[in-house]
Amino acid sequence: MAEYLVRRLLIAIPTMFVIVALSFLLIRAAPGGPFDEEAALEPQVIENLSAAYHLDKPLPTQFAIYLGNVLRGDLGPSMIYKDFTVNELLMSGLSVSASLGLKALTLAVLLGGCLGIVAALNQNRALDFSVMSLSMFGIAIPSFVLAPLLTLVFGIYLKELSDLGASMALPVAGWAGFRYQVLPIIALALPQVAIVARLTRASMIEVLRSNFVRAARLRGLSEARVVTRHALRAAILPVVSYLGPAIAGVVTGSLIVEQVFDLPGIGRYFTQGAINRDYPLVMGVVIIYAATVLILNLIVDLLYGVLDPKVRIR
Amino acid sequence: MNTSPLPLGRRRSHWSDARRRFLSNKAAITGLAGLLAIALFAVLGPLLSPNDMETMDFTMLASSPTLDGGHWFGTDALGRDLLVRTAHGARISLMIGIVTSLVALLIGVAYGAIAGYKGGSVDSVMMRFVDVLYALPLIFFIIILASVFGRNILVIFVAIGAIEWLTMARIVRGQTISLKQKEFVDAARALGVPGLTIVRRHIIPNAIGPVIVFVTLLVPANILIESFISFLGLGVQEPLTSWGVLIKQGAVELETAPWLLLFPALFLASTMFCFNFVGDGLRDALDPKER
Repeated sequence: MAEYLVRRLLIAIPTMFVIVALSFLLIRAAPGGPFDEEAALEPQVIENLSAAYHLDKPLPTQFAIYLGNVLRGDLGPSMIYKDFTVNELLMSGLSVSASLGLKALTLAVLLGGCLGIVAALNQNRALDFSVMSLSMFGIAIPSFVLAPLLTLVFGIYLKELSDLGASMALPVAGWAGFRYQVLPIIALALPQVAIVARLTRASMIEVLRSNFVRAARLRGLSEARVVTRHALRAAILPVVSYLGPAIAGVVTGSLIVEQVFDLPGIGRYFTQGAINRDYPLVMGVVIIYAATVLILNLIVDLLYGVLDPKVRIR
Repeated sequence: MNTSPLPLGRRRSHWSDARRRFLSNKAAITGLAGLLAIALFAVLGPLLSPNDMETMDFTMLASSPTLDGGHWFGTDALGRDLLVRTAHGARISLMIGIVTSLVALLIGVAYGAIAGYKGGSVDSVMMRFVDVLYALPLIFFIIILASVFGRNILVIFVAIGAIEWLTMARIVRGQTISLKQKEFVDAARALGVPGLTIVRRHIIPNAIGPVIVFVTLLVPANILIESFISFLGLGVQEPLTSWGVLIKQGAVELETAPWLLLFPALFLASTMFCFNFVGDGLRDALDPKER
């Protein structure tokens, strides 16, 4: 186990290096710079600005300076939000994005898992059919359609419906308390709920047919105990291995959800930074997201090893 | 087994078996019919409609769907006909889906076949590079590419295609490794056929089944990616339009003119459904386990 962990960490370091190098090169290869919009700037001013941001030095030197700063945890100044460093912007956004993402992921696993189990236990009956058709829609309707639709139904139509509706209507923008989080979390979680439900159903059906479940039943254990103690532990494995892609999906979806619901998370800074060519900000977000995805994937792999005895032998 | 790639009779019967299985799959046929209908709408819609995509009808600003003036899907806030704009969006979205998948196909098949055929350290270096890229949320790189190289449709083709080839490379590599142990490849090698020719003439044609299935599933995925970045404002730009652009505009005016979101979203979702049905049908038809 320890050796596996070390090996995985040794792969993670070059991965992070490739990420930083690739995004650095891509961005520097771009035609146009962050100061292009203000065409009236004096050449001397541009020169001074470039010097201040090290843009006048050769590319390898720029990369070395940047890499050194990143290693010390300094992501540099933002070029558009001129009074802030990238660190300050990301620190303020990270709590929003992390709390949103973790809640959405938890909801996806719990709700999707329960729906999948219910569908599997009622295979080919009406309940199974309705769960599966709902999940089909969850997969086919992309987040950027779902999120505006949710704001329309729960934010606007519900308010117009009746007084009771108005008291239940949810805010569709901002980040102030739990009520503000409900719709973004649902919008972020639903596509993953759908996928997790399908995965759980498929593996549960397979596991329920296997010999060790039959043996547990033959020993006279109650059906509830068979399902929760014996079948679930084996059936959950495909869901655990899907957690990696699910994390990537939640991270990607947060770009949309933070834009639609106007949340001050780091996904919004990324989109704004990409539109405004704020190089340090864009790279800062990429580094944070990539590190998050790598670390979470590592945790998922270790978790898989704990759950699946076959993997532990490696 | 003799030295020819595969006995002709057996190959034909494999493909005709697959075709029979595919044609008897109702969901796949429905999906195929749906895709044909959407393609016909994309081609014929603008030709048959009395409107064009840029003319503003000032007497009908943000009109709901109506038979009046042929605005069956209604008009947007500038009085432009939504039916024609949806059809134009369909052209761009479908084209992006297909072209980016072909770009990914070319890169992925070449990369995977070379890695799998060469084997050894070449293979492990090439696939380690794929592993590294695989660990990233690649949409970020597509967005960086789209934002730094200008928001131009050619950039989108290349950006999505250049990033979505990873899974293709893995599939082709796996196929290649299992194929290169077959006798007909040994025979070709014994006859002195050069490596690149073996890959081109013997390996790739025999690995084509899973590749076709994957391309069918890649097209809708890429349409979705384009819509995603267009929704963020970094994809297709006016005067061109795509489903993502229309959905973005519809989302802004959702409260007053919900049809602006619903029609493009309906087309996008139907296209996703149809491609997935066809892809599943093809997978069942070409499933190597059934050979």
